[in-house]
Amino acid sequence: MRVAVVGAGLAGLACAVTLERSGVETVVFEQGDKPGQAFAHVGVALPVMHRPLIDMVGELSQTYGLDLQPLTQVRRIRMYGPSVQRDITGPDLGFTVELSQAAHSAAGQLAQMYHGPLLFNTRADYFALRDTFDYVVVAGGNREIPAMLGVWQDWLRTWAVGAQVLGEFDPATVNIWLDRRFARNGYAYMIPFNEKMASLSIIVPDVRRAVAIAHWQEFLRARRISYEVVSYWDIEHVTGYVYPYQLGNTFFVGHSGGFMDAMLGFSLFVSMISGVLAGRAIVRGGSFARSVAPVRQNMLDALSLRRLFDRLENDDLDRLVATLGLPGVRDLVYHSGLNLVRAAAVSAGWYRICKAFLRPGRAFDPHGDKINRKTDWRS
Amino acid sequence: MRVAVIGAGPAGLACAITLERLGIRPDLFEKGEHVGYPVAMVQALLGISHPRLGDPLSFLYREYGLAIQPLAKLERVIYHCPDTREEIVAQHGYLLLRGRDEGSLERQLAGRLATKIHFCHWAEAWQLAGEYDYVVVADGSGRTARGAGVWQRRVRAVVRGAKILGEFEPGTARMYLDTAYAGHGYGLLIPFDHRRAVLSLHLVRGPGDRMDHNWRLFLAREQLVYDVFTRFDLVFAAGTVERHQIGNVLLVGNAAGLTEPLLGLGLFASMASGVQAARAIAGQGDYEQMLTPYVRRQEQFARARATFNTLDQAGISRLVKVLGLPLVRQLVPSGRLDVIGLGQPWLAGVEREEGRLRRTTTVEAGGE
Repeated sequence: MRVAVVGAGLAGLACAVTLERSGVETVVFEQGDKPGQAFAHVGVALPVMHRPLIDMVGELSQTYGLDLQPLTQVRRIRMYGPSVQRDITGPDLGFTVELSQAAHSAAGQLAQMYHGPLLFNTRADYFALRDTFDYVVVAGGNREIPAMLGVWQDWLRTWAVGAQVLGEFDPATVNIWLDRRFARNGYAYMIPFNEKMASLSIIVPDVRRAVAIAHWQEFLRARRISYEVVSYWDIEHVTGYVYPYQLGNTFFVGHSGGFMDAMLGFSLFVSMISGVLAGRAIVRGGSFARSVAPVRQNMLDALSLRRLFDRLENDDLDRLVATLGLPGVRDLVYHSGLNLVRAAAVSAGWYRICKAFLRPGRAFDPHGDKINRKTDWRS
Repeated sequence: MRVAVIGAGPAGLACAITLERLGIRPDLFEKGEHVGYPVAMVQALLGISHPRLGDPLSFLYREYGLAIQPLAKLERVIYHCPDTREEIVAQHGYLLLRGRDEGSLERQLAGRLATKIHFCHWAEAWQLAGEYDYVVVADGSGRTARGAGVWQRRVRAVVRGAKILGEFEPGTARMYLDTAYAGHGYGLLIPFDHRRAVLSLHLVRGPGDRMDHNWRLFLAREQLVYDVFTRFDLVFAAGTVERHQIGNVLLVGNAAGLTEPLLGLGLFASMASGVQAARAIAGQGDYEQMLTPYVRRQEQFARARATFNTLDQAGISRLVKVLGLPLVRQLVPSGRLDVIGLGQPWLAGVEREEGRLRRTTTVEAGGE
């Protein structure tokens, strides 16, 4: 059996490693000249988005066979609302990992676990691969191939603008800023590489690049951030929905399979898991759709959460940050196994049903009425 | 003697290497975590930049002791204008690999250095000036010179580049001169090897948000139907400085305004100034004096740029046609005939004319 993997990112390499370990002949095609992303930034995986999970690094290693060495465990999340600030502390709130082309980056580490052929500077011709290989795993990191095959639907488009900055940082602290004035319904965050360098970025939904950059400048100005900048970067992300995940002998994983949570745009964890599960489905012949069902449910829940979050205004954001910082709430959200994302999605669902029952005229409005959303939300 | 060098680019590295050879161990500070830009690029070292010095790489080796391995010789340049195309085969110069990859110019130079580079380290020249006997500023920006009030901005350029895959001939560069998308800048295609190339668009003083539009137009009009990936944007500010040494602070490379304003190339002068700064620190001469030929050359290029800015598309196309004329094509690109140097009286005339016009405008504005 021969399998072609398109893309040497996290999802593609996780899949290739899984296949190789089961003795399947695998070829990875990568258009760049190294694995991973060209610009250096730091990714974070927060188990709060994946409850009942607590220990993500352990889960990756034990359940999925990927021994990833994180930069550090997150021990403090500092949340800034428009005018309030709260800290969440704990021994293991998640983990951070470098996303770049360095050997210790996530993709670099996965590439070292994979020993098979990895063809760099090679543009994969999907149709040729589909006909010559037994299976094709699409992990290109974008919607190109799934959109071409008609299995992709856009959910959310965002621009991420960021920089590598120098200063003094606590590597175990992640900073998050929520403020509609500069981030709209997105957010800004800062994750350190180490004590001296950090990755600072802002994610703005539904804007053009130039507008996103204006938002970035406004963020720096409003928050009086004046770190020395090593380099800037910006990238467009399109979150989408893929159905089905498997089309004949082709599997869609990582961003190409829509494995990115629509709430925060995090994809580190789900990308790797989707790769591993696709690899296992190929090896064992089981149903990929069934094995990724829990991950998919998690992403649908995150989308519901996003729809709720989109309605919040600045005073609501302050209330949200203050509430998340309250002792009881904090413990429930960050330190217990409560599946917050699921719970929020379910309550949002019930809220809609109740509302439909009380005001039947709006029963079939899945995303809420944009014009009247303020009265909707508060009534 | 304690010497600090700020910036581990070609200028800073050339300076540090020379200092070591002269028996001085400098402290080399670099704000990034590697030497070189995060993205790999190919840059040209052209014979036309400094024609009197002959072959640029042999000069760097002979006079400055910098042995540099090029990616390829630049043997063919194809100029594309909307209505004309000229192919010029000559010894144009060399193509050098820039970036973090094995074999890049930065990696080659860093490999020759015994001093450890302090990475992720932000250094401020005026703070260090008190602690060190000498501070060499090679950070590529006009920040230090601006702080001393000796910086004058000349050109702001925005560059968008992308790596593309396809079939290319190493040693052949393509230059696109079409005012519709490039204004008085240019598009450039330079291959890494047979399969990879870097495609870039260099705009002069273009407001950042027009780049998206111009880039799309560039790809469409030149029918560049390659697979574009790892796109990057860079902003360069080139300027001039009145003095290159302020007290014990020496400016080198682009920090000293040594990027020539015609094509935006500054590699040769950067490395040369780095070496000269090291020699001046070791007491081998006066830094300002050592830099004089390079500064004069900058002025010549500035005049050429001012003249180029007055050309419309027809003028640019005519210029390209002239470059393709029999005798010209053999003598000019290789630098055997220094057109920019010899053309100075004429170029200066244009500048005077421009200056007069500008003065008139100022007077009018003041009168209101």
